Amino acid sequence: MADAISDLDQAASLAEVEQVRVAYLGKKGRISLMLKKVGQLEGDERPRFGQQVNKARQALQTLISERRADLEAQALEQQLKAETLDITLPGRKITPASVHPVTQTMERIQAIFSSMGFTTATGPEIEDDFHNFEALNIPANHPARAMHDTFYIDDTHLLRTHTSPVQVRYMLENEPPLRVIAPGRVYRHDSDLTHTPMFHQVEGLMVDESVSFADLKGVLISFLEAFFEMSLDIRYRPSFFPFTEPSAEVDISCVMCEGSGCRVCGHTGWLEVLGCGMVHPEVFRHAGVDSEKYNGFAFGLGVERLTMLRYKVNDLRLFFENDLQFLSQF
Amino acid sequence: MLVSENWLRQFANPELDRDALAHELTMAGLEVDSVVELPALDEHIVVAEITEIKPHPVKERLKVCKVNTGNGEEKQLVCGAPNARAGLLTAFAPAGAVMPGGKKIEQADLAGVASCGMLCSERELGISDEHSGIMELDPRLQPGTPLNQALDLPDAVMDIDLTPNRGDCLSILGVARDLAAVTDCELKTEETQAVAPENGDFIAVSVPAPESCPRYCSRIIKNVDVSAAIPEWMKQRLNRGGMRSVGNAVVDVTNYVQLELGQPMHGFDLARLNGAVRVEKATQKISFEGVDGKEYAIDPDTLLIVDDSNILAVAGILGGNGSAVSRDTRDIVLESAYFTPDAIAGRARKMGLHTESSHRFERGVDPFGQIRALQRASALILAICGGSAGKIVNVEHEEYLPTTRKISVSNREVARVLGSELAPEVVQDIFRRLQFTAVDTDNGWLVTAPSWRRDVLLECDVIEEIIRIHGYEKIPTHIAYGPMRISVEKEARMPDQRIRHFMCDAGYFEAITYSFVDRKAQNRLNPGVEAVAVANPIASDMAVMRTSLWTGLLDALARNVKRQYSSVRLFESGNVFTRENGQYRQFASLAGVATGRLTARSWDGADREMDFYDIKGHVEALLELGRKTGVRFLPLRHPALHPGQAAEVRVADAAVGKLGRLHPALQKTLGFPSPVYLFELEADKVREKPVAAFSGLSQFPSVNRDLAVVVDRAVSFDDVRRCILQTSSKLLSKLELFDVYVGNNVDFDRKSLGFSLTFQASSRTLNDTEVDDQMNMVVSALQKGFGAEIRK
Repeated sequence: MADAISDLDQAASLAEVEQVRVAYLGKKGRISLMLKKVGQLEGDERPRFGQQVNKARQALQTLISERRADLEAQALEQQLKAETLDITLPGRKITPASVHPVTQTMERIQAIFSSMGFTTATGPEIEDDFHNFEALNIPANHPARAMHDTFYIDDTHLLRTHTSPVQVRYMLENEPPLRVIAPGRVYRHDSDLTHTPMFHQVEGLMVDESVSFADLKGVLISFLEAFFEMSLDIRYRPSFFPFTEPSAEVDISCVMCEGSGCRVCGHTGWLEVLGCGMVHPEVFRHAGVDSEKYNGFAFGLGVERLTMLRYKVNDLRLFFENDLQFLSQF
Repeated sequence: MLVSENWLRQFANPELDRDALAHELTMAGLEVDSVVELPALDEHIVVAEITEIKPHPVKERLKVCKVNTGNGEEKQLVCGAPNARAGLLTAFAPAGAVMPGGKKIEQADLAGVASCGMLCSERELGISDEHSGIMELDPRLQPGTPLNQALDLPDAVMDIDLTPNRGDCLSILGVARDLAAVTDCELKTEETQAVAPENGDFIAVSVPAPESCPRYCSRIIKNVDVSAAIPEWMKQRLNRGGMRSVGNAVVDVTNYVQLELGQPMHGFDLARLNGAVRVEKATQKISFEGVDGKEYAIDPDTLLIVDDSNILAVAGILGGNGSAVSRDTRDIVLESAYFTPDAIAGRARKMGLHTESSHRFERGVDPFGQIRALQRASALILAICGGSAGKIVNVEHEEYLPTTRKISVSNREVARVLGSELAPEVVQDIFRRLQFTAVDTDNGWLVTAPSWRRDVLLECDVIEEIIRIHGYEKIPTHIAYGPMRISVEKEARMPDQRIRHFMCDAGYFEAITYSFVDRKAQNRLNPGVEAVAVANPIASDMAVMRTSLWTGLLDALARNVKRQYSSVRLFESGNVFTRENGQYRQFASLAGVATGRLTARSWDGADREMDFYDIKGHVEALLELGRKTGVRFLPLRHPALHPGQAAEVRVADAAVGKLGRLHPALQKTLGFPSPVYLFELEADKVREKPVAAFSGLSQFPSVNRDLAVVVDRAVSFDDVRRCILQTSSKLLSKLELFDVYVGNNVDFDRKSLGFSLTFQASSRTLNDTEVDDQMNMVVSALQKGFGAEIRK
């Protein structure tokens, strides 16, 4: 037995343990042979010796099992040790890219207005003079045309200077009541620090039997506070757009300095963010809407402007340079 | 419109400080863009007369002046100004005076001559940038007068950004009228002193184009001294109004009246006129020399002022050189006319001009303001230049003068627009302040706007005026109610957002590029497509509308590569434009460009360069996103693409786009170090996504068989695939290519394709014989079709 224990202790692997098992407990193992001898013994020697050998066999079996478990545990331990990684090494990832900040803003604008029941409409970018100007109460030679530095295609076609023509198209195709926004690209013949020849606008329109400027204020403050996710002061300044009357420009308290005055708001505490007004009867006439029965409001906002304010972008031109260093920040 | 605060306050002076006044104007719709302050000067700076001037004994360029600074005092100083001369009245800053900017004038000794002050230029006084010499002040001023008083300081100039409808505010008077209305203060418009004619001189005027010129007033003033000195206050006001005194009293006065009253005027030299004056339209294209000495081509239908032999002026836009008042002119004819906006609008622009006069006439001047302006100008000219005035000729065609409209305004509509009732007294008070006349009616008022408010024509215009004076801030904020209406896209149209997010997740950054591109660059990438040209492009490389998104995207890609990004993927979705059969076609496109590694550089070397199959995989996945069936890729010849790595993308036999590798020659031209891969798809086709229809699950086990076939290299995978699909029955549920092998054990110019075929039936377990039959059919079809061998 002492031999067996010593052998077992020396067994360094599961295979060696097995050798020990075979050497003692195998068919020709020492204990097995001893058990066979039990039959040959005389009288009262037999049970006593038999008991002893059986006891030894059981003890050895237990010891072998224990030794096996030990060695298995050791082996696992070793495997785990060997498989240990530097988990701080970078993973093999798909690098997700991002949606352009201007598009992100348009998506947010759309989502906010959609939640207020506004549908989305689109219109052509190569637009005709009628929809871009005439139907919006801007006849040829009107000084307001000077406000729109227009890209012309031919005598009657141009690149739309605003998304307002979608108003007219939508009204011609749909019956009031209407709630619609029209996002899209617009073009002006202007290029400097604060102007790019192409930019994005979202036009909004609501027409019903009794829509008031109070309703317009409700929609705009709801939108602006949802967009900037903060409460804002808002002011309306009388302005002029040929397609709305009355018209106003909308300023909000500066989202950068909360109205205390900073570089972004030109130290006025106010930011001009959009233009709006009540739809001019002349526009309704062109769009086939009875302006005695219906009235409505319209507004237009500059997407780049809102994007700059929301994400603190300080140079308009970056939007169209598509530099990864810029795009990857959004 | 530049407005001097002092001048404005002379007409309307509300009890408000400068900031509050500017705020009121802004909130009335006359947006004050900026305010330039003209602070008071040191009170010791005074008007002084140079009484004596001598060369400096040592310094050649300096002079020693004696000046009279009033109260009989005489001071000596050294001055270097080229225009210093005896008799000149100028600005004098004595020693001790502090100049704008903080510099203190010191008693000095200049090469042995004592100097006890400085004569100043306008720039030194912070009035303007003029620094060619010391100020030349009106000789009528008294030496010793504080310069603040002479120059009307302190003052401020407000730059008002006027909207095009407010032509009536293109004058001090106009701005004052609105200021008085919003602040409800007194408008001081004492009648202009009428200058009684001293003689019966007049020039005959006929107006053959009365519809364009319903009123034409003129007056002769004889014996004027055009070179007379302009009073200092007038010079300063011209300056602050953005004009300059031009040293011609008649021109200065007409400019001054234009700034003050908003009526453009013109002066002619009587001696240079020949016969009667006529206002008529050009009947043919003619050439005309303007007062600026330039030649202009005048279009027919342009309104002209002519006499018996010459064109005197382009009406309301520009005077002529031949008839202009010069410093030698003795007798003048003043013109003060009402030209209609229609007659002037657009004409100046056609001549490449934008004048103070055309700006006002285009926007509409007060049709009843001509005589007042003429009287004001007469009085000023007589006061400054002397002379004797003739009688005023007023050729008026009343039938063409704008009629005063009576606008019906209902209480109900006011309430509908404002969203709340407004007390009638409040509305009436607003009418009073605006000088609107209003007669009560059953449901509101009959309103007449004053003659200068050409923009108030309709009920909504009157309501705007009510709101403007009442204040937008007093309108309540209300959350609108409306019918619930569902407005969601059809499920069979994928949201654009889903597509964008897919592209981003595949590593493509969204780009937004200009819709106009360089014609040459586009022709290289997309030849044979007729592009829409922009008639007036902003730059030559932005002259045509894009027919493909590739031009802009490759440009953006190149810029990033230049900025040392070696692996870049960009996509864009937006409209492209073509011209087909004379019609403009504009439709949404989705495109991507990619170069460099597929994944970020990896420390274990698992990264690799992108290749054709990567971009193809992205396109396949994109189409799979839309559950497309019948997607095929056909070899494509495209001038911008590698001839062996280009494909047309088809869905259900319709071409929906293309993809491939940029032609290596183009890659080199465009300066890309690594291959560039591109795709472009019709966005509408990508968006289509049939609504899902569940086809049940099979409870029965599937059987898998592998098949390796050796075919000629020229045989395409797709041909083999299609052959297998066509041959096998519906039992074939999945076909996968797991291996393409070329090399040992396969003949040269042959390749081995390894397929895995999965068979499954929905209602039973397949037996081996059935599957063997299927496999045998496939194998024999492949042998027949492609001479395929089966690899064991």
